Amino acid sequence: MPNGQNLAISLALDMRAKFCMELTEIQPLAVNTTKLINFIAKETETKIQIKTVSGLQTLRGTLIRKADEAIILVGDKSINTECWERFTVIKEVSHLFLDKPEWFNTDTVKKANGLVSREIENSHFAGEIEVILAAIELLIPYEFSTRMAHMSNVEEMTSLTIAEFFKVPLLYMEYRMKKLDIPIIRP
Amino acid sequence: MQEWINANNVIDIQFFPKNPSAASATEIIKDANKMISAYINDKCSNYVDPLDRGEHA
Repeated sequence: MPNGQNLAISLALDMRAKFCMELTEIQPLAVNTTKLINFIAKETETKIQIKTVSGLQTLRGTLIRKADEAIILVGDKSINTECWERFTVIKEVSHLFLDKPEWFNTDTVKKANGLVSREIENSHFAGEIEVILAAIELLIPYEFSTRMAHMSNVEEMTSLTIAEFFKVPLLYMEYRMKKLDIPIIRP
Repeated sequence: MQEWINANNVIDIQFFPKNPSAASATEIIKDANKMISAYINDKCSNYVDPLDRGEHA
């Protein structure tokens, strides 16, 4: 794994260790994203506003960063399931403790073209994989791996059901379980 | 959108497309404009974790 990705995971693990994993009351395995964001705001000394926007078709979320303030705009159910909404806000807020200043860019056209072409040019795309890895570490903690293995192998739950317990997208739950070497035996 | 960004001390902007391989830059910019316009005009709501919204049984 590239050094940048290892560093991103390491930083996310540090953040998670300090946060002490506050879980939602409704679902006991789901990390409380509101509380996690408030915690990251204090750790990064950043005032964070997160707003939900309707009527989107292409973007799950957007981060607008100022010197000591961040605005995260996340799409509602018009584009995001609850799992994707939660993942998106944590993914965007992870930029605040991962991104290097030399990656900052406000040229929206260049940024959009860079994402579509997936070419790493002046870091328009750089950092995206790292923040996704960080969000996975924050929302699907390694500490739960035994529980996940039990759910999969003993309780015979599908990975989709397990993802719902953690309230994360199936895509990233499957990635996590593969990395933890938990067999995914049922679709 | 770019004018607002330039006028409001923004130092970085990040987009998270639903499907980068299927999206066009134009579509990304269109949605970004929609998002920022909603923010500027206060046409959005504060985020609360979906599980804390009190909508579940």
